Amino acid sequence: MTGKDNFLQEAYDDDVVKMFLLATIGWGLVAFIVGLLAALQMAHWGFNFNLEWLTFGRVRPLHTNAAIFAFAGNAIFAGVYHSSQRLLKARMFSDLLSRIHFWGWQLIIVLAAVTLLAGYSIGKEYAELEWPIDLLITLVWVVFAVNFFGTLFKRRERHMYVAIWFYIATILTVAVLHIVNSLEIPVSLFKSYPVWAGMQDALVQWWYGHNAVAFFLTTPFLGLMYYYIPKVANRPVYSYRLSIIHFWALVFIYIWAGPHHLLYTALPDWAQTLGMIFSLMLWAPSWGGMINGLLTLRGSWHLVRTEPVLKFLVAAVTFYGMSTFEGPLLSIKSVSALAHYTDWIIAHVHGGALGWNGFMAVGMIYYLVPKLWNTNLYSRRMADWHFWIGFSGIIIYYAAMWAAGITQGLMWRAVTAEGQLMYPDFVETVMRIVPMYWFRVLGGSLFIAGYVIMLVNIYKTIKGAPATAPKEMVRAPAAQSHGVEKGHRKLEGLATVFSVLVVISVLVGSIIEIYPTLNIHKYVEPNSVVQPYTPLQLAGRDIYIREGCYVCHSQMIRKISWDVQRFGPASTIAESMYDRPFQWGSKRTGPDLARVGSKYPNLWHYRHMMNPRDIVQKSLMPNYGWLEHKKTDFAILRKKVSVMKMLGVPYDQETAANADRLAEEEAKAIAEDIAANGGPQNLQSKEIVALIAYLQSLGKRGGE
Amino acid sequence: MKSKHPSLGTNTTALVTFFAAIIFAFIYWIHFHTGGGGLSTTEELKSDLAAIEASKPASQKGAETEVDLNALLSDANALNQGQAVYAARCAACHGQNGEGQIGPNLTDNFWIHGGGQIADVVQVVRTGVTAKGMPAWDTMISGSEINSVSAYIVSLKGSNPANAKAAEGTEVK
Ligand code: HEC
Ligand code: HEC
Repeated sequence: MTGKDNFLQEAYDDDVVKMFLLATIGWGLVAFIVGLLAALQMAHWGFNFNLEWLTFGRVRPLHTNAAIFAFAGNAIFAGVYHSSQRLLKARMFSDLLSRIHFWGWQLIIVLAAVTLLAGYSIGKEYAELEWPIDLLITLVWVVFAVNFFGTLFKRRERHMYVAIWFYIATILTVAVLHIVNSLEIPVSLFKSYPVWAGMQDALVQWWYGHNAVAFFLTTPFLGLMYYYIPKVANRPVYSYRLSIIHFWALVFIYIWAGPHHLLYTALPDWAQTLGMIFSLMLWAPSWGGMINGLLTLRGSWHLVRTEPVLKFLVAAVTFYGMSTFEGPLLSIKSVSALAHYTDWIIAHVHGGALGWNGFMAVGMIYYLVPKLWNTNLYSRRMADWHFWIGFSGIIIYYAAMWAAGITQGLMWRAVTAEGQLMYPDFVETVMRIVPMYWFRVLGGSLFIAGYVIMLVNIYKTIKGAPATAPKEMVRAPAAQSHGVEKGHRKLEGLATVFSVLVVISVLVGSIIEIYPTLNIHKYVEPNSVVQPYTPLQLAGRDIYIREGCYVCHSQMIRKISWDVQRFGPASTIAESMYDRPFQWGSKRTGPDLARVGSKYPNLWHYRHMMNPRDIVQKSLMPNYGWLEHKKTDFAILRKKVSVMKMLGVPYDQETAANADRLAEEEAKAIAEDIAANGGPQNLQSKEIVALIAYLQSLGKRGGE
Repeated sequence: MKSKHPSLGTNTTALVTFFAAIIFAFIYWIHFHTGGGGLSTTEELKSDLAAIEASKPASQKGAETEVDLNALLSDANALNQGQAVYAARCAACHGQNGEGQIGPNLTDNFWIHGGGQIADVVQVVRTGVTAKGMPAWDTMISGSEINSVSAYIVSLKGSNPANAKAAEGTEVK
């Protein structure tokens, strides 16, 4: 060994791990309950209690953000802080940075909850937060990165274990994704427009969206798997070689897969093809991870029967295997044609979120709480009950959404012998699956019931813990070379080189896909003229985004015969080229709106928005009564139009300078039309009129 | 914690699958993007729509004869079906009893389009007046539903519902 002077001794910082663990447990409950509320609203619209801030368009973004960034995020940080210190044989680089990271992240979550419910949203899925919070996220992430890499550089274990590789990939890639996807120009304190527009924005958004799944919900959790499964089972990882191959394959390939969310849309074919073929290539490397996790237990399967922690971890890895098989399957163009915009995608996501992330986090919680509080788990039986109840919940959820998605997908495409749509009435295809929505409520409730059992169990465990516990110490010599090393083994000692290689791997696919779309005009027919939104329509569009209409309505008629039969000619790139953000959507709970303009009279829209059930008896859509009372902010329109102009939207000087006056004139005409047909008088200053102006413009501004 | 026993069997299977996917990716790309004969999404759509158009029977393209339609006016089944269609689809704009609301009163003697004969009604229901907010129903409901709802509308003539909307169009005696 080494000389005494090199030998360091210090305590691990486990307090911060405890903090992140408790935050995970708490935010998890919030995320799941908000999810249950959203599920209830899908089964019956009335569960929004007619409250503006509880409508589905606001609740769903809150649910997704809470599940991903609050629950999974805190779980990742707990696991990373706990395992990295042990794997690197070093206390975290800075206690202060750890605390800033923790409190900064919780602040972000609270701000997110408040602003999303209040309707401040940039309108991009899983990245809805407005620009000041985006900046804060960047800052806190940098703090995390400095803290992590600081620890990495003072490590006293020369070789980085595979879990650490995955953490490095996570930290660096998430930074790139977040920054590029959040490039936006502020209009006011809580309003901004993305620099990306239309098809370009769609591509960047799903490059981000898919890789949030990859680098926020997959790579860090694989890191946790690589640390906790061998620890709990007390066995070495199955195959070192496999971990090398599947790590680099995932890091290089994942980043290309985003366009599989956009198959048959207006996105250029070459990008769609890349999205599909790279997704298929992901299957084997993903299963490499699953195999490595599961086969680590070879010879000790009996432990799974007796050890609740292992039950959760093994089920989680199995769900990972299912999801990563289903993902490539859904990326095949013909399968996507059936599944896209339906609940099948929701099933897929929840297999991953509840099964893989949820159970992985829960397994880690059951393992870490007794360890860190220096005691035993209060009740193993309760943990077993949690497992079986939660597991049944996931299965019911999954099965219900599969059935719902496939049923609706088949109904959308069904045609009669005469070539007419069999179910031309969209609501009919929604009504058919409402029973499945109730089953989902049941599945979700079971998952939560299991989780509540865990809360009690953990509470009792911590309560029964001794007041003071001895701190776990590192005792290790400084890291040093073990003679000449070759290949990957050598790379594992070179943190900087390793990190640079990771960044290069993710940049290759990113640049190849995004760069060609930077000039969107290249893809637009030179003689197609698209009118920018009038100032009033722009105001209406921002209301559409604020209310989160895009969570139920797509604006993208795919190049698929039954989409065209139902909604009109396929959408083009030109039509959305000024859309910041794009609103192609990802789920059709209501019909596509890309060509709803002038389909109905203004008064129809007014009455429909006030109460959709006055028009379509079985509609699931919320009432939007407040739009009749809230006033349109005309004053800010000049600013909004100038920002758009600066971003390249061809507004003339005249429009920019008089945006508010032009909007008021347009609003007056619409309000008069509503009044003349028997609707209420004097709506011209109200938001409902701006929204109607926007809806009437859809598909009517040229570019077909 | 690194294994000293990598098992080649499982690893090899994973690798073979991986390489198969890579080879497939190349073939797929060549087929669709380098003149390999694969249809673009736009071409695929065009040929699908053409196939649907070709499968439509000739009868659907022409209109039914006057005689057939007039027979519906005394066909209780058709009128019942028409009433159901009306309640589900038309009442939102024309009122529960045809008195008019967003759309015109359908019970009076005034017509904007045609002269109030069942064939005229079928015509306007089928093609709609999309510029004025009357949807075209021929892609949304079946031909027989269009006929029966039109018969139902004609049967409402002179029913004088409450809250009737002021007359629009020209009077037909
Ligand atoms: C909970 C999901 C949901 C949300 C959120 C939602 N809608 Fe809807 N929407 C529906 C459903 C379901 C229908 C079909 C039944 C109907 O017409 O009411 C629909 C229909 C519509 C239609 C009629 C489309 C057509 O072609 O007939 C319009 C227009 C519309 N919604 C606009 C909006 C706007 C604007 C918002 C946001 C303020 C919104 N919707 C939010 C579910 C939703
Ligand atoms: C979205 C609202 C809306 C719906 C739904 C609707 N209509 Fe109409 N309808 C109108 C409007 C508006 C007009 C007037 C068009 C014009 O001014 O030229 C109209 C006109 C008509 C006319 C012609 C009246 C005349 O005076 O010439 C008929 C007939 C008619 N509708 C039948 C129907 C039937 C049958 C249905 C249901 C299958 C239906 N409408 C559903 C809005 C609607």
